[in-house]
Amino acid sequence: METVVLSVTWAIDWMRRAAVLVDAHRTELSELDRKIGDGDHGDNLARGLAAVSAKLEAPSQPPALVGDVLRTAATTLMSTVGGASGPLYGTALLRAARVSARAELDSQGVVVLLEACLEGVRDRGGAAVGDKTMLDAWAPAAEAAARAATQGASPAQVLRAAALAAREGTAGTALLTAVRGRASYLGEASVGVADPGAASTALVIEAAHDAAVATDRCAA
Amino acid sequence: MTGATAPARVALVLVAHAAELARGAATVARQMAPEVTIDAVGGFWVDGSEALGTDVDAVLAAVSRRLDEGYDVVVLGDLGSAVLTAGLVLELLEPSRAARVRVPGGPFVEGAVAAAVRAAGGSALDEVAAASRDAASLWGAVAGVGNDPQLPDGESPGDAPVRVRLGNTTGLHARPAAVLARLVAGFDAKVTVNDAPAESVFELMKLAVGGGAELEVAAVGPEAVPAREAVVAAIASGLGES
Repeated sequence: METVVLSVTWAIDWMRRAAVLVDAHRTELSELDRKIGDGDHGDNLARGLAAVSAKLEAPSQPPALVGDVLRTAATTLMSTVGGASGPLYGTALLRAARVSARAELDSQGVVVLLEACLEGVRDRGGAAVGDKTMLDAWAPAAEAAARAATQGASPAQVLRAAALAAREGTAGTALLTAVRGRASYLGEASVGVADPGAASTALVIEAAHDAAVATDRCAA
Repeated sequence: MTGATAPARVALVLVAHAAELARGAATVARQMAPEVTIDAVGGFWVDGSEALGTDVDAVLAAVSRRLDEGYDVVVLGDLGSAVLTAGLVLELLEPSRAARVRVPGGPFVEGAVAAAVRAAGGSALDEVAAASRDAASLWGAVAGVGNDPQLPDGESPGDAPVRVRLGNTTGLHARPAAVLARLVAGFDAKVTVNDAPAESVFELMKLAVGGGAELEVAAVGPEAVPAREAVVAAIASGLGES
């Protein structure tokens, strides 16, 4: 049976799984970034998420709300990532924390969380959809999540729709010319390579889905 | 303090990807305005060694310290992600404190010097911020010596053609060609696709381009760049077909 809500445990598991997943893909992410950026995205984000994971494993006080977990993740990423993805993921999770000051999230709560991430990334980076940035993963993810929730999907199903849309959005960035960030200095030469920020976003959302599925399995 | 000028009310925080770069820019700016408070925050520390990057905590600490001392603060960044970091610092500050901080943008070195000189004159926050923002246009962002090869009128290296793959399987047949022709009609620019005029559905169809083919898009005219970008995006997305 599928659970209808996600808890603080899910949020912690999300971050732990995100750290593992990004670490497993760090070479691939850095390789994308080497082609169109400064080549450190995988290493930077893996380092940051490892720090998040470590911090959540030994909390100064146990988090009571989903938002508490996300705020810890946000502030840790800000001080450990170093590259542009630090402030971008930091802002995304900070905004997500603000709208998730609850012990449990239902499907609509997951949608609100993803939309807050999307808004955070958009406000911070000033990019538009189609600029070949992580927004090209966050935007379709939030949209697909909202659609799934309207159709009565469970939180895990909502996250599955979001993860698939983020992955598709990432694949689409390979066709685009970068107009933001360091990749924009390459202009047309950036065509053919997927955006590493979008690629890592797809992994982070996939981790959220994996954690939700694991929650279901425990409940079953 | 010197003569009639008021003491500086605005401090600068220079954020760069390398500590050396931030320090260097601060040194150059101080030479012009020794009485201005300038912090150099550069680089990023990983396990005790410096990596290239910017540190939100370090920038927040520097800005907070100067705010506590009663200064308003202008934050300048060297590359895009330094400005992202500064933007996040604004979000982390209490709104009443964030209101005393500006992240105006501008060329890093010229902006730092211009802002420092303005701050030294006792100017207010927004004037100092404007000095950095306007530094590129006022100073010509450091003119070169003028030995670049001459380009034809109105062209720049940014006008180079762009190659893009057609994002549909159906090819550039009548309907997608019409979509493209309508799109370019909205721009004050002459756009070509594989050297065919993009405003002509017929010429586009004569190219006999199949789905997934790579196309070269070029544009000239006042709106060349936005026109080219729009066409490239439209072609990549399949011109309404998949």
